[in-house]
Amino acid sequence: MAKFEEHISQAKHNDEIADLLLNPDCTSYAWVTIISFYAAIQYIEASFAKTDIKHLDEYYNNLTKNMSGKKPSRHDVMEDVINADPILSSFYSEYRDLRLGSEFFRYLRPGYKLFLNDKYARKCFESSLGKIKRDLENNNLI
Amino acid sequence: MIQTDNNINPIYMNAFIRYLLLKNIPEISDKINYYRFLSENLLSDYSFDLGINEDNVVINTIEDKQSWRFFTSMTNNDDNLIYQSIEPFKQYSEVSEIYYCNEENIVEFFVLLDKEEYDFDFMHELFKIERIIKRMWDGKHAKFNYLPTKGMEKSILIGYHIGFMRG
Repeated sequence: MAKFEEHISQAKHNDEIADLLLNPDCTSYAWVTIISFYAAIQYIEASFAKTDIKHLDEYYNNLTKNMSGKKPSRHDVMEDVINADPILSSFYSEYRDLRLGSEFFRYLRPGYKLFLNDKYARKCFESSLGKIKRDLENNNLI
Repeated sequence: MIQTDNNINPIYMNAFIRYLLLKNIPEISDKINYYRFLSENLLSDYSFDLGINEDNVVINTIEDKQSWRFFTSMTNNDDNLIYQSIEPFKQYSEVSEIYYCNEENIVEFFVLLDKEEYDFDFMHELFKIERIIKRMWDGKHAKFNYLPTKGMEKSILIGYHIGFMRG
């Protein structure tokens, strides 16, 4: 399982790539959104090291090991953890913006073209990812 | 004692309790227990005692003071929870249809929206509802998907039940 520093390093890497694709002119709306989502995930997973969750993989495996039938995905569980946590829940909506956009592009869900614009990609990177980072930093979690 | 009117939605009552606690009103937060809710809503008749423990968690003060579940989960079966999960979205005219599928560990919703572009402020309103509904489904993951109505191929919703259709 990756350590705090590894998550942070990967998060920053993703963050930089999204920035490069977005600025000065966006070269891929889809990839800016997807990479911003994965940057957010890495920042949040890093923050788990400083909470009761510790490692999402371990938490996920313990939660789902006795489940029969269709299990919630790792992203689903992360979403529930964010919703339940008094600090992380401050950016629940921003996390959802990124997850939704990322899933639309990855699976080309009906309506994905609605997201294919500079305004959406820029807001995902600057506002949504920006808030997630800021809130985690302000709470000394990253 | 807080007595509700007969039509209040338990979701909002739960949110209301939490709002009161967050406001830290001494007359309320200093009383660890007990608020009695009496309601005969559209779905079922119920009355029982709920309290708030030191961690601001709603507990059933009669049955178990240590453990907790949100009272909507305690009193409602899955059908009622689905109804209550769909109901708050109907206030938005942009929500045209809602589909759901209830499985053992996951309840999944598809919310179809009459929107031409992604509206961050509007979506954040829906996410606020999402958050409350997720907590209602204690022990089960509530998954929300949003799709534009325009150009929607209904074939992807085969196997899902219709929960709401406007007009």
